[in-house]
Amino acid sequence: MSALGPELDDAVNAARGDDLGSGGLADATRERVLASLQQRGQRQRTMAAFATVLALSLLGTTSWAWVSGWLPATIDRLRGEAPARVPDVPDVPKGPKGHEGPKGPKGQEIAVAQGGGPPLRPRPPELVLPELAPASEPAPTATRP
Amino acid sequence: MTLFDSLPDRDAASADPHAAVLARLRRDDASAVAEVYDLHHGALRAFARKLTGDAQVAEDLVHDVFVALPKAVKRFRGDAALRTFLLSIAVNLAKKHVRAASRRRTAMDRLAQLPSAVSVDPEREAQRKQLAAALQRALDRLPLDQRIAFVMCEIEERSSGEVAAVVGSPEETVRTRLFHARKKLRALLEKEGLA
Repeated sequence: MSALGPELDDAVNAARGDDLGSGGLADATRERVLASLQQRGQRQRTMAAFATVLALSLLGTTSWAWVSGWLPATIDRLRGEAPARVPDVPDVPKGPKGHEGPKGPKGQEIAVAQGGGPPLRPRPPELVLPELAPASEPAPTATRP
Repeated sequence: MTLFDSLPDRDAASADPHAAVLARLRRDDASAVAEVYDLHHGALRAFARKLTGDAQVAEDLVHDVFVALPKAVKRFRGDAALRTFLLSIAVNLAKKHVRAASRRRTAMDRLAQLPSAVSVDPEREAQRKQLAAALQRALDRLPLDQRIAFVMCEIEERSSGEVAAVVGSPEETVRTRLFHARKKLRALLEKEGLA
């Protein structure tokens, strides 16, 4: 211990002899250790029981759903029917400036439906009735007696 | 490599008698823990008290070691003495307890500055206690590794090989830690005016 130096040597000797008072702490700690272990074991058993009940419930529910046909039907429905998609709004090509929209065969404008509805058909040309030719025979006139 | 993998084979013979107890420990048998406690609590408590310098905190450390034992023993390969293994667990759990002891000591030092009751101890006993307290305060300022090396080698008078087995480090490392610990403690005690 001479390597330590006199002051450290004395302090180490003092620490060796310092028993800090033993009292009845050893027995108390023994009881505390056993109580902690028992408490931990009880907690583990509770957790295991809870997990078992949960697993059995899940198993029972799944079995019931399978046997009753609910589960296969749900699986089929999920596989077969894709969720309905909302149709996209078609893009209307924009023409050059001043161009209002697509033209019909005779230059009529085609009204473009707003909101994705079907486009209106071009209005058909108006019918022009030919003029009646003059009658070759004079119209019968009434004769006076 | 874990701490317990590095324990030497020299204690293998002494580990064999504990085979039955170890088997019961691995099955979480509380009576096996009680049995091991009865066999080894003295050595473990002595180490814990010297390391922490506080009886109550040392009891907490002993408690934690034996509560952790059933789980820790699953990593124990049986190639070292059970006592060495218990000390290894204590070293691994010591950090929290050493801090707690240091805090308690600081608080107690503040209280100790109040006028004390009539002392029945003679002057020499008072001086011895003062020296031990000064050493504990100085130990509080060491890194945990150096503190463990100093307590085990100098105060408990264990060999550096034994300490190396407990802490899971090479013997040279233990000696280096011990060297630095002595150097720092000398300086700290001189600073306290104990030279």
